[in-house]
Amino acid sequence: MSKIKNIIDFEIIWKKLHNVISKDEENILKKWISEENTHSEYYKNAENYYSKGSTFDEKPENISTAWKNVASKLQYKRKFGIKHLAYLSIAASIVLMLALVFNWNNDEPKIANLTENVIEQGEKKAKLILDNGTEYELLEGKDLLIEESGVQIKSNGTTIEYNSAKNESATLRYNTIIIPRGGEFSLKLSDGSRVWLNSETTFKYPLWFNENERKVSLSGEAYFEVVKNVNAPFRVQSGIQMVEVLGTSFNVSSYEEDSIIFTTLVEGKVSVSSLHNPEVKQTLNPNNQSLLIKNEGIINKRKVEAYKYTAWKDGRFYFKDERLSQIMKTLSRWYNVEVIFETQNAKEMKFTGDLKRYEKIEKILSKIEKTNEVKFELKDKIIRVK
Amino acid sequence: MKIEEQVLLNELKNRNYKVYEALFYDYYPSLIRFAEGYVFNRQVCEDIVQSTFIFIWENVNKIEITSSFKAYLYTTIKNKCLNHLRAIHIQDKHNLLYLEATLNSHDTSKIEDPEILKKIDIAISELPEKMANIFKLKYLQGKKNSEVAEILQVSENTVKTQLQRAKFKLRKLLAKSTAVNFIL
Repeated sequence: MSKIKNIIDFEIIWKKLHNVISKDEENILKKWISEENTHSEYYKNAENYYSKGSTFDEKPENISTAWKNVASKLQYKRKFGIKHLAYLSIAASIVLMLALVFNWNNDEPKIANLTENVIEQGEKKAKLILDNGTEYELLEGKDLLIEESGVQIKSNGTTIEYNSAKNESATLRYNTIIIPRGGEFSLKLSDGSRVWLNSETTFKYPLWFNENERKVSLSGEAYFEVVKNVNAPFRVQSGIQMVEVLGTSFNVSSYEEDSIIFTTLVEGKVSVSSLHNPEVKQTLNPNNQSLLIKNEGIINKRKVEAYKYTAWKDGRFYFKDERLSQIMKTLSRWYNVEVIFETQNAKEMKFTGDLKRYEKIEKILSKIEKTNEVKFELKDKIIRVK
Repeated sequence: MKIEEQVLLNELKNRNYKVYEALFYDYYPSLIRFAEGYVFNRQVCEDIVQSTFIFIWENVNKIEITSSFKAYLYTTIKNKCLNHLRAIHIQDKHNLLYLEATLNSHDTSKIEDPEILKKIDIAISELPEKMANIFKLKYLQGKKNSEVAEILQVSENTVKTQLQRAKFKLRKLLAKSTAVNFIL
């Protein structure tokens, strides 16, 4: 019975430390503290923690010391050390073998294209959906001039422009542009900001912006050149990510099937945060890229060559040490083909190259084939990687 | 279980020492802080976290991990801390220490119950701005009271009283929104 009696609830300690304890509780606490040394010590430590905060010093050397201590106590370490070494050296040699560079400068394709089936490269095309649901096909060489809610919408078939006639109505009206596989398009928003949209992308934006915010949403990939307006931050929502800028150039790649949202800054400054947790946040400087890992809800940051990630808007593919699986994903979106890997190893091979987007896919594939690491077979809009 | 988790566990089961070491470096600081929010004693925290890591390495083939490696780590540490407290006759009926530990870990993305966290987030957003700022600096960024005071150009006393009020408000807000009886 006495044992049960001297158990204290932390609530009482907490109340004491925050000066909201009652007389009765204070007596219970006093008695408890006096009972054992471990009790008084705990109370003292708690008091210290609540007045001064954490005492843990996150210095790297402290963590290394802790690691050494743990490592020295492991029984299995020796036994498996050798296996581990072997594993590492195999891994290292695989990496060496795969880090191949293919040459993109020279000549004619020698790929085995067994069918009549011609694969077209991507082109400027898009579908525009107005706020009232009306749809228009936008295609190179096709002009369009319409008006919605007092806003003039003009397209020459490669780009679309909004000229806001100062429509300050409180309720925003939205348009949506859908870029199919094998398409790209660009637009100029009512504030003058320009947006390039890559294949398989959906972009939703208002016909005009509020005075204090410019908000758009994106699924897929887009490059932004935002006109500066310190009073109205420009916000791009894509999936669970929010990017906020005042005026700058950046690229967002946020495909639903990808597990990571990439945001790459060319110039200016942007802030990237998670909608799930606004505390999860990164500020990017030029040539920084953030990676929002969707499953984990965390955002990492790294230094990159921004050019690599925005080359698409200038009509190029630029791959640097890129995994073949990623390269093929990019190509499949632009050429609207399916890709089947018959050897899974090929997915992990890495290639480097700078290629033209407006070029036949056979040419690109043959350049990769020249490294003698993989073979492609093209049939019925399906690429088999062997 | 997610595929990356499965790969990770398989690597541990194959006794991939590098993966194990990387996990240690990755999790150690936030786990120590998590334990600190329960036991308030540096030595005890280190013992708890380090022995957990040793146990994992030695027994990886016997451990059943069904949710995620993170959740396993945090739950294990939490239970060990509660055991330690029970031995010195303290209980945490209202999850007061659990919350303190979570906030102190600075790693709110890694705690086992994302629902609770979300509710904390929402509750924080309902606080008056000044109070919320102080609370965030202190608990989400791990600043000391004196640092918070300097950043916001207020006295340390203000920080203290604002934190106290913030916790009371949060308790009320959370009581409304959760089944867990939080007392902050």
